[in-house]
Amino acid sequence: MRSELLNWISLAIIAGVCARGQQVTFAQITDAHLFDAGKASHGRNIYEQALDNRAALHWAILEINRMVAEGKDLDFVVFTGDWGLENVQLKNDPTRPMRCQCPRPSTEGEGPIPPVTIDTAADEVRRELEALVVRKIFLLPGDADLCNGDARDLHRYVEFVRELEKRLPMRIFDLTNTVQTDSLRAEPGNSIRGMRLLGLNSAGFGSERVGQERNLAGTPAREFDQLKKAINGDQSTLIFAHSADVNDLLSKQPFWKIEDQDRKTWKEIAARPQVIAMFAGHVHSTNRTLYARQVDASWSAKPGSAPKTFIAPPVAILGQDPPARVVDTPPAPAGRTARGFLLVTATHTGALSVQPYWYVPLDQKPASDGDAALMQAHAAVLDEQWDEAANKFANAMTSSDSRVRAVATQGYEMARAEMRAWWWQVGAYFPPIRWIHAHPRRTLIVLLICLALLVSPKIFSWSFAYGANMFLYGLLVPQFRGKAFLPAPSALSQDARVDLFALELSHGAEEVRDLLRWFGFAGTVAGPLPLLSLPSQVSSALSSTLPTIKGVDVNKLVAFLVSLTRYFGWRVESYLAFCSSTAALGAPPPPGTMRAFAALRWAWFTKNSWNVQATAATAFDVQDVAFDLATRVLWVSLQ
Amino acid sequence: MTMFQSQSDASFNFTDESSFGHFMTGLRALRRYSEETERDQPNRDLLTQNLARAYDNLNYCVTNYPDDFVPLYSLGLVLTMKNQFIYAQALADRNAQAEAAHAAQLGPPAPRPWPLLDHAADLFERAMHGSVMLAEAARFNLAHVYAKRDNGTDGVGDLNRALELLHAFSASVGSVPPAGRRQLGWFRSEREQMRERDYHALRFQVSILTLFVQTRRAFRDNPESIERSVGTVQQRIACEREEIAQSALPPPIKADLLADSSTKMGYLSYEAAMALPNGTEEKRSELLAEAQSELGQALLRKPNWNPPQIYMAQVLQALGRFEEARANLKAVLGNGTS
Repeated sequence: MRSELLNWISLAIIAGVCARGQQVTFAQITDAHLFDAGKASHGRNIYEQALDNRAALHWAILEINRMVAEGKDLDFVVFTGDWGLENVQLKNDPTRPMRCQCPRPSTEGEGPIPPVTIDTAADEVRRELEALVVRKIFLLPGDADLCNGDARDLHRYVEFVRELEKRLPMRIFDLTNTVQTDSLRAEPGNSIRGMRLLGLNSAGFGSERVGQERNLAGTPAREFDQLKKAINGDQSTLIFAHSADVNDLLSKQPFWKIEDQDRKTWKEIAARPQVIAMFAGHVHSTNRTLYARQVDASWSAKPGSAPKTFIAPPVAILGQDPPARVVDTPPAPAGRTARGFLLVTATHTGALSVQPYWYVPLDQKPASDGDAALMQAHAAVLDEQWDEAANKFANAMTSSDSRVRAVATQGYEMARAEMRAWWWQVGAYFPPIRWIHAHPRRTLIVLLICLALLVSPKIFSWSFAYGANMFLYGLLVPQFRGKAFLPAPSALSQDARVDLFALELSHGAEEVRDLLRWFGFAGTVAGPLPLLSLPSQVSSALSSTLPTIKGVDVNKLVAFLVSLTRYFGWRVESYLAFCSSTAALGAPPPPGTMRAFAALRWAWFTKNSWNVQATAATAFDVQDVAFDLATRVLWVSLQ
Repeated sequence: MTMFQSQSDASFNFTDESSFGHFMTGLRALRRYSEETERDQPNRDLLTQNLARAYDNLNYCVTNYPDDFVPLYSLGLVLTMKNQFIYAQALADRNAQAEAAHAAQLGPPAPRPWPLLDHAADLFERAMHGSVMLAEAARFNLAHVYAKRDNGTDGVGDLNRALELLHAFSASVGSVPPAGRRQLGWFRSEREQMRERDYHALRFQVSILTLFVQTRRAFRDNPESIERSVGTVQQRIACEREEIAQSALPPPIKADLLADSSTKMGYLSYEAAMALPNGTEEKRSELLAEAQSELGQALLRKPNWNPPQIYMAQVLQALGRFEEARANLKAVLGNGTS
């Protein structure tokens, strides 16, 4: 019994170890830009960016430490390049050929920050990484770690890694084998928990010179060849690189300026089943939806060139200030930036958990004094209220924050440029022009609606409504067999005798039948032909005799039900007018004209309508028009 | 009402409600005219107004809806009535002249054109060929027009045409049983019963009219054997009357048929009297007395019926009893100013 229990415990331990061994968890940090901060900026903004980038890196290190403290087990941290080593002063080695002019001579007041020596850079990074509780750290070079992104300048990265290795022995590893390549050719890549980790040195893939020296380290041919060799057996593999084969978001040109045959090789590598995913950086967009998810096919440089690829958000502030013309990027502080790192868990089965951690500076510093004006300005830009936008940008230009001032200046220039356009100036006199320009899609929709309304009588009467009406008519309306309710006719003239007219109309129907019988057509008109008339006095007297039961007015209820019954039944709605003629003085009155209108209706449908008239000496001569209408109503029943 | 034949099977198709409306308005006026003529002292204004209104409305239908055969047929009937009114008026005028001239007696009216009858004949002809269901009625009325029209140009031709129509009619009526379901009486529809009744009544009418036409042609073909012809037709009509009396027809229809036979026999006696050569005054007086008797029988069976009244006026004129003739014609033309 005891041995059996021990066996169970052993199995549980083994199962736990195996379960743990099936997955790898790591953090990816990229594009810290510590040493080239403030590039393309000027004035105080350069140093603000340097501080901001460092603050973000501090946050990332502390956030990872916090995770580990909370029990998260991270196997390693990978830095996928762009420390900004191109602005680092290397040691003066006379044996090394001078291949470039980096760091570049700086201009007064323009970024980046002043260069530091390689020792200073290594010391600074050492301080950061020394604070990191995760022991194993992998490095890859980025294009900003090479002078002009040229792969021939890889020695800069190599020197930096070596200096770090000196300072942090057994913790720093170059994942691209670039450092080892220079010494002895060890087996490239690393393995953790059975997962193969390979680095693709794509730092130089964006250079115009890439591919000119195909056997040089950092060139596509060499790197892809090395990668192919490194992927062996069935071992699950994760690939890391600084950049992926996607398009630049602004220029729409591929990051990788590589030849087709090299791209084909890469696609073959990426398509291998052992390759679970590729993780890269290099993107500085503020659009958070681009990160931590598999790259969309539309973003790939070529079809299928960026499969299984995930992009990590940058740490640096670089590119996070929205360009003035990007009016669809609101300046809300919380959503302004997309900075941070990725936390990834990968299993051998190919399952991936990729979670972004966003660096939100809002919690760490107060809004600048021009942020409110800038936000209002951007709102005005979205509304294309360029005059208001210009005013708000002008207000923001007085901010003490250089970043706000820079954005506001660009925005102000853009707003003024829009205000010089013809449509804006004409719009001062004819405001709809501005609305049309601001909302072309809505304008198109409005025009289409207007056009539809213009032709709607034809459309609705002869197609849709007509068809629907005909369908309902066929579905609901029973055949008219000569029996119809005759509501009290309406008087169209003051002296029209409508009650008499109703009785004559009702009698007229009977007379028609009688006449047909007299003439020998008795068998032709089958069934009753009544026009049921209920004189208003009788109906009102009848409806007022019903009692009120428990507060319910039965009269109204009955009246409603009767009306409903009559509405959904055949009825003849009629109107009568008597037009008398004026008599000459002393002469007998000339005959007038009796006019009558009637419509045979069922609910809202009108089957027929008629207009008849006859000569009438007095207002009481309604017999002829009533008979005429009766014949027309009953004619319908004979159809 | 001689020409009013039952149309229980007539097709009842109208182009639209306007056609039907005008037809019904015309029919109503025709009925009012008919009702007015049945009064002892009809109103002349009402007679002329209703007849004019009937004509106007039906003529509107025929003009605007030429394919609607019921109004067309009805207009034919109105035209025969209008012609009868004109005929009576002509007799009245002649009567007044004779009274003024203190004439002893008057012979038969001189033959003259009757354009209304010509028009009616044309309409009946169209109805007969255009509408299957109206064909029988139109044929009978057309035969009736030909039997009585005497325009002085082709009297024998008219009678021959009438006989041709009646022979064709007799053949069809005699051979074709009444259409419709043969069911027990109380289950039969009103239409079915009328159809059967019409069939029997029409058969008698055709027989009487055929005798009438044959006798008139015999008068023309053999003027010397007029007396024998009269005797023959009297016997045959007596047989018809016997059959009518024994038939299962309703009494009003029997009365109408008997009145019709008396009217026709009365007119034949009058025509025979007028056709006798001079020197046979005694025989003429006998025939006129027989005519007066037959027409009197007709008026007894159907009071205020215009055809026997008119023929009675002619008989009285032949007898020189102009005052009585005027009274008869007044009963036809009505009292009034117009």
